[in-house]
Amino acid sequence: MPTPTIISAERHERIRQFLRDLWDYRELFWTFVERDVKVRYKQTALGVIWVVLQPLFMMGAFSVIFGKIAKMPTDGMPLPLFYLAALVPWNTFATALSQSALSMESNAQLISKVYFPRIVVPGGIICGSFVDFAIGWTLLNGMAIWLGHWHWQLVAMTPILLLMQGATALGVGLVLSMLNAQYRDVKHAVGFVVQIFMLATPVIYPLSRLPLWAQHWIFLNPMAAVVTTYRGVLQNMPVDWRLVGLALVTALLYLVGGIWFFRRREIYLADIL
Amino acid sequence: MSNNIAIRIEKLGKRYRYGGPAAASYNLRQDLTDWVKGMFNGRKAVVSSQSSTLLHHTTLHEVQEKHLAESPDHFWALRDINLEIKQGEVVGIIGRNGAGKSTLLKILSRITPPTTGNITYHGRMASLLEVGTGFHRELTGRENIFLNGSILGMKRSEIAKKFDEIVAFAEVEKFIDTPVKFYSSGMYVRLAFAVAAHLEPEILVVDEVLAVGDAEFQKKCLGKMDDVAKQGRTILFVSHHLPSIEALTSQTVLLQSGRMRFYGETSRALEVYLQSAGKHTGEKLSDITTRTGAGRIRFSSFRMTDCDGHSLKEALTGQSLAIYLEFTSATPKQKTRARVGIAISSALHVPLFIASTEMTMSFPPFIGDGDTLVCRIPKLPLGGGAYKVVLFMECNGVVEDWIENEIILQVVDRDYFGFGKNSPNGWEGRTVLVDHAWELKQSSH
Repeated sequence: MPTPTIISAERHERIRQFLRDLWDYRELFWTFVERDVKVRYKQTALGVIWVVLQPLFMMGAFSVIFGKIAKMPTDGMPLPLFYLAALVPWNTFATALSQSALSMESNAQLISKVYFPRIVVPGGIICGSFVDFAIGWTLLNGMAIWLGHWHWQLVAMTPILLLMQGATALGVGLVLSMLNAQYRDVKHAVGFVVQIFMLATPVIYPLSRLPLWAQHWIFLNPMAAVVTTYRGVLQNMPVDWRLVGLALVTALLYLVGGIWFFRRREIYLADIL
Repeated sequence: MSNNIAIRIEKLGKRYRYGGPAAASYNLRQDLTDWVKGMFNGRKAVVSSQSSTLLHHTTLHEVQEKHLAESPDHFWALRDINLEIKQGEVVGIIGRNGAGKSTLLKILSRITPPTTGNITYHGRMASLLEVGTGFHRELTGRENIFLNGSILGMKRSEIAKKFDEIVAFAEVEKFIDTPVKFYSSGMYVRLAFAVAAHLEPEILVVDEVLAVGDAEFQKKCLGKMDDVAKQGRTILFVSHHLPSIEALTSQTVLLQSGRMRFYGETSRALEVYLQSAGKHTGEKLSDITTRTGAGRIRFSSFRMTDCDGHSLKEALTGQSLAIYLEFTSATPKQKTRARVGIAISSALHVPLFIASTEMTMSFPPFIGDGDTLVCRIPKLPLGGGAYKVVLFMECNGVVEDWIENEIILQVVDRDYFGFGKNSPNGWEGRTVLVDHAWELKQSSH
């Protein structure tokens, strides 16, 4: 006879049970990813083309406003490439973060009717955002080749940078989603938090414009390291391993902290939603 | 633990806070000020009353007994539930609204944790608290079958294997690649139920999902559930619909105000359930002002009991019922010769039958203040639903009291004829049930 399942007031799920549960529900996870990706472009006339158009439009607008009019320095990079290298990771990050922050509320109906490890929902959203990222990333590669700035490190660095991006989005998203389940105030704050986050990330300016002390601590925002590293490899500069290493550790800490915060509260979700 | 016990529930309890769980915690500002105040008071837990939801982990063991004691802020939705359900049993769960049925199902389905006690079960459990959970309007029928199936805990390979069967059961073959937002509500529900009906867990927990869909489809679903039960799976089935409880389950749990009132054979549970309905001592009629008649003598109360004299709030189809009518009079000593009647109409005000002393009492009753007239109906010929009761009384050709639109008779549906159906579809609560039998005389060519 297989081991029984015990639902108890006294004993809480241990980490092993949590991991076993995640494994048991892996198919649901992929189903959610599939659903999110499919639903996003259903009944849109241009469909997936939006993923290409959006960063292109923003790249154009940023180049004109920040590059030509405000004369923001780009450390010698061509304007479009400078902005596209930041916008591709940043946009997918921002969308994934705000969607996962609202995910407990938007899936309240499901959560109050069926059991599954709740982390599957924001986790699926982050994974789904990688599909958009892949399209934007292909565009970035094309643009780099066209402008003669392509470097093999762009491909080599992508997995590690994507891991940082995903871990940060999920870690922060988990905390926000749980807070939003309890306090709907969070919903109103999310858009604003994401904007502040963007200003704290060198998207419209190069990292070198920050004061030295800020450059020293910028690894606390792993997205800053992600954006800067993409730009760096496209300029054929050596990777700043101190920044990447520290930012990776920070991102993983955010992820672990987010999971810890989320797990402590997830069993009460159905009662507070 | 003996091997044929599928689910064991021990000392299960669930406590909620009045006004919603941790009502104050919905307010971020309040929580923050509480927290700051708490720091200044040097007390860690001003929020302790809310901690039962958010910080539960810290309030275990020794704190528990004290913490979980009766508190004016909290109530127990479930308390001290002890149950053992054998493998392959189909168990019904009944009880009034608020008796704790849904809470029990939610704990079993791991949607919400218990406050006390524990549940141990073997095998895979699937719960069906709603049909079509997670259906997405933009996705096609095909995509939704996979989505909904995964949500309910099926493997994709399992869904793929049963796909054709599901589509055929739902009767939506032609529309399988159409987004479900274009489905009629009937198609939508059929598809949703078809997925659920093809779940094959060891333990199936079902809430009132049968309340949806047309009668024909409901019957198909009940049949499907019956098949599942015959395969030796354990089913827990919550319903207000007593005929389906009666038809499907062998054992039934009766919950009352969060506690287990009865657990045993279904027929016995239904009896206890209907008796427990009658905490009520009778409906006072003296406050009614919308009555006509001279009023020298009046009805003062209307109440019902079963054949053993237990009061009832609701009657049961086919039940042996007694109706007690009490009278008051302005002239206490005087008795008057009267004609008293009870007329029952459908909810649509169509008269169904009349019971009157005129037909069924050998001599007219002499009635005075405080007297009670009892009308016995040996087998209540009404299906489930609400009926209108009209009371009238006439003395010497003068109408004394006539109450027309005040009294409602609630009847709980139960199998009357013994064939599982009380009236043709669409006729529920609109006909009188009369015993009858059919016979087919076949010609002998």
